[in-house]
Amino acid sequence: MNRAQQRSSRDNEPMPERHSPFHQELDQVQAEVVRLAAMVTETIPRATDVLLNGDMAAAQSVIEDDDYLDVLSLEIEERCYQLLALQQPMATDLRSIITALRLSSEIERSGDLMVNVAKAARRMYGADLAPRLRGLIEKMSEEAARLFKRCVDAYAERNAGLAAALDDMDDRLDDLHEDFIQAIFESYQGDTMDLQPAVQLALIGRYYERVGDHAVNIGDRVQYMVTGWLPEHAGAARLEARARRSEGGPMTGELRVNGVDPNGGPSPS
Amino acid sequence: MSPVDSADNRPTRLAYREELEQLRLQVELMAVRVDENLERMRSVLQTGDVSLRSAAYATDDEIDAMNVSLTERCYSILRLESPVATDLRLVVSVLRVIGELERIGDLALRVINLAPDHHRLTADAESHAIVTVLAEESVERYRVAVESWATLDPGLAQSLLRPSSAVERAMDQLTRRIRALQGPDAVEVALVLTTAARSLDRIADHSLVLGARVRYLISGDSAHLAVEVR
Repeated sequence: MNRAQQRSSRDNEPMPERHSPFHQELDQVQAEVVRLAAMVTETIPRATDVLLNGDMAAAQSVIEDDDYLDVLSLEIEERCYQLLALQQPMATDLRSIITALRLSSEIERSGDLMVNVAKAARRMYGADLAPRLRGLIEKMSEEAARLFKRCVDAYAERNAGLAAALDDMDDRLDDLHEDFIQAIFESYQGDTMDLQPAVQLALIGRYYERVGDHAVNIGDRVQYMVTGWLPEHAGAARLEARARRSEGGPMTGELRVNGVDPNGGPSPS
Repeated sequence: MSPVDSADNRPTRLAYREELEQLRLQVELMAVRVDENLERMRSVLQTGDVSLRSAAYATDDEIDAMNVSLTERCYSILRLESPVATDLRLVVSVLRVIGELERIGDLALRVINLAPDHHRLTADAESHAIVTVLAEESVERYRVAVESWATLDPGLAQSLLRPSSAVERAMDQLTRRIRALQGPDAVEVALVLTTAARSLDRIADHSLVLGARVRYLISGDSAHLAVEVR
């Protein structure tokens, strides 16, 4: 019996026992992905606390703890490769492994963004933040953490509906980011803030916004795991929509504050 | 159908090998399209030509479409062929590499979108010169990474491991220049310069990841993947 025949034969067999060694290993990988995401979710308020309170010891701790995230992310990746190589999984199981692979990278990058917040906090140590800016930072942090928790819930519960809703939930974080950039300009122009902290704050706002983008990406991947819908198809749909629009028409939907697009256009997926 | 070693199935095995080779070549093709937008990015930095944006968007659409088709092809190979060893490494590496290429394309587009802000990019001549150097260096590193993928040359991939002193030096110089900016639109100028510089720096970073993937592909040593997490 060749491999194709073996596979065909397996296709006709009843669903394998969920507690087979393979599925136990797969469950463990998924548990590790959830643990990785939980660690990042906890890092978001920690990094924000560093920023708002100027605690340099806590900043160092956030930066050093990222090593644990890196190691765990690599472990997940290697375990996924082993599962692929040794078990030749099919259908839902294959999608689960591919999703775990993709998620570990998205989650690890989100952790890096919080390290960036801690490092930026060190660069602007001693700078006074206006109450409005502090308030917006707190709100962005809460929103980013909320989004991240939701996307992890969607993954753990295999909830495609919740995963699909993340894109709309992210709009609130995008709006807060826009308000934040505007507030930075106003603070600088009102002579209440120097240039260096203004630039650092603009970067920090971007980091929170990108955590939201990663949460949406994770939601897309969860949809793929549950339904088989390929997230990349969203890009193909955009392409079709763009093709339908008149060529050379005005670009819409770009965020510009004081004539500057602080995102420089579309965010990387 | 799956490849097997029996003589009767040689054509199938041949088709499978060709499918893998085709996959590798399609990645190169995608890299060429990304390179086109990197060239437009450099032109925008020099001239601020806003008309380049429409061509850049069209190319980016093609890059996205290639990302879709290559992802589907990888999933299909994983599902139907259950590749092992080197073949499995190739497929999972393609999945990772096309993601990196797509991100590099997005970063190029981000800089191209700064075309209307060219007056801010050039407001401080020295900062603009530094950004130009950054662009040269990051594009050069990208090209080395793509060549290492095309040739599977471990030496080229290894050369990307060394951090680019030109990039590091340029980023330090730019940070100092930005701190010294003055005037009512200093924040706007600083933000535009920072957006451009960070995008270019990240292009160089993504090129490093491409090199790591090539080393993993050649050697099978997963230690190379550590470069991807920092």
